[in-house]
Amino acid sequence: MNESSPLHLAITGYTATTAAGTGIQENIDSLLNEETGLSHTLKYDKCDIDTWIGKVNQLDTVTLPETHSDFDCRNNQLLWYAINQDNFINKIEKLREKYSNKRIGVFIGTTTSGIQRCEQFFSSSNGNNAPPQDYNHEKTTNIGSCTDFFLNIFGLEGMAYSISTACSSSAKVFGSAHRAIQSGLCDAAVVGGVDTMCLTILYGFNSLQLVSSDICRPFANDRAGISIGEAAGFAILEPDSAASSAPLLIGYGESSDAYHMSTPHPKGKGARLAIRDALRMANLDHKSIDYINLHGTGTMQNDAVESLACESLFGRDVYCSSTKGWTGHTLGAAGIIEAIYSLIAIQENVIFKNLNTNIVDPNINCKIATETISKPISHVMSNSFGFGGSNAALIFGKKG
Amino acid sequence: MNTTLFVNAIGLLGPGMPDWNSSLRFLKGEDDLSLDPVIFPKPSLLPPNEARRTTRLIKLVLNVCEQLCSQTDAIYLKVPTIFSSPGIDYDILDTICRTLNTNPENVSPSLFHNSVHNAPAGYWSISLDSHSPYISISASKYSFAMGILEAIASLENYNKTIVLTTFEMFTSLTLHKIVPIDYPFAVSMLLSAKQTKDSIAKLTIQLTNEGPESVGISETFEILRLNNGAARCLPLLCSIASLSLNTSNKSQESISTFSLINQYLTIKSEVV
Repeated sequence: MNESSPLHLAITGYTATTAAGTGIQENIDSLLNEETGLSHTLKYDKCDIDTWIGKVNQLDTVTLPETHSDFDCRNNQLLWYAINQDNFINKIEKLREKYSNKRIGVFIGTTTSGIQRCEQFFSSSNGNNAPPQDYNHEKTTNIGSCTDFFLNIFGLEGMAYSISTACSSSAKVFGSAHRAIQSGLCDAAVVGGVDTMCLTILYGFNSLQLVSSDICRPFANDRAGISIGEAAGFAILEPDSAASSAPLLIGYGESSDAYHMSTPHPKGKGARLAIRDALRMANLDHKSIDYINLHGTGTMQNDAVESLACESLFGRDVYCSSTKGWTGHTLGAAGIIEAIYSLIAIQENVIFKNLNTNIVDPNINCKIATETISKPISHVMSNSFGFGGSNAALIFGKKG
Repeated sequence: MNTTLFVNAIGLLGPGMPDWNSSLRFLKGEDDLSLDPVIFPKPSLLPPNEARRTTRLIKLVLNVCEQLCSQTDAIYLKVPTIFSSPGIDYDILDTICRTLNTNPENVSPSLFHNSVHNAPAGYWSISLDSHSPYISISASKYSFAMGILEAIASLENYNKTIVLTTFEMFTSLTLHKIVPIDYPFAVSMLLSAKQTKDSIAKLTIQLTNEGPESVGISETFEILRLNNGAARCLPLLCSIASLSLNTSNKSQESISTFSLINQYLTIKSEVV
């Protein structure tokens, strides 16, 4: 362990595109107006599941530039669409000028990447025919694709990889960036996450009976499962400087449940370890946290276990809520989107309502925010817990 | 960057290479490697109902991690672990895509939760009952080299020891038309920032502009190195093997070079 206090990283730019909005301002508007981005569907593609989804509708008309056509798939279309918001492309170009292209790390989370291309290949002839000429599996379907695409767009050549640890993927990117910068392997980093609608996810979660036909209601008495969503988000991390007023990543914690592939540890053991380690790194008492953005997927088990873990560490001292009522569960993008929502909470001095939930489950003992609350926010924690028992907790702080 | 770290144990499973010790004579070039089919051993640390659900890929990865247990105490393995793979579980991808095409309502729930890229990692943490974090990464043909960088970052910052596991599954049937991988391959290494009683090699690692990347020590090794993205690590394994005591041609040091994006990772392996 580095014996001096851990490096604080400034988050000097970010962008997010979700079902609740394209770019930061639309997401803020949805959050503050308490307007969900989820919509009811009886059919997505050829899937007849009765459910609510968080679709980015504009994606159906997005095309990639011809020079990047090898990378063409829904996941990379969403990546491209997202980075074209909030002047983000310009920000990355300026970052490259400031640090040089070999000194910027890139860490992007995804779970299904461009799997739709593979689904489509099989659907045409059960895979018996020759694959289409333009199907480049490595540049679309494989997990490294989104990071490879990002590096390609900007000509970046530093330390870079995709992370795929289910729902904690794009929270863990912050840990990777922190380690890489603190060890001197890079001087700045771009972190992000992207995941898109596909049949594998819809039918897969349905097979586990985790998909609700009702809109997701995290921590509700009558919660019945997740609403699947798609999203992309990116953030720029640089060492903090005296001149900067940007919010900071001040701590993170990671752990494993070592319990089951799709069921969380019943006592939330891994979750508690991750949260505890984040607080230790941030050198904060639990009471210093003003708001916790919970993983809060809306499943019976996640919400019960997560609230156990939070209650054991925070009691009823800290307001918390899930924002998946706006975006749905965006899987590999959940970490980055909820990290960005945490930064918005700091920027706007607001605690988000736990949307869609009318009656909180009486067995949930942490302090769920049942309405939007305006109050000064200095520190926010964001939780992400994934299949395979992969847990991450992040802590962001207002500068000064 | 100029970093030193130590290799304390190695697990290996590949064509004609069932474990590290049996493979030394091939890796040293004393005998010719034959790319014989890999047998995927049953996991020995999982409860039977969990072991039953594991795919060939999960068995591949668990086996090389389990091999470490015979070389060091399991307690030393309950550390942060990096799982790096260029690809995914192609067996599951094939099955799921076929099922989606014919009877999607019957997607198997256990197959689905095993389809996540971190499934091998999750099963390993269950095998060891380890709450240490793991990370599952992918960076196409740079996956091994980026895994080394992640190991360096982890060791410098927060940890005394770390496990780095690199693997890639082969493809059969339909997927072979899109991803022609003929051989499975996996390696797992217990790495430390400081020398230990178990250390078998000292690695000095630098980022340079000086290529070219190292190639296989024989035509057979080169076929494997280019065919399976995880097998890009072979030059390092051959370097470490060349340090071993069982030959009069033991070298004191051996250098292997790996491509990154327009730069190179150079690893000097030395006797401890």
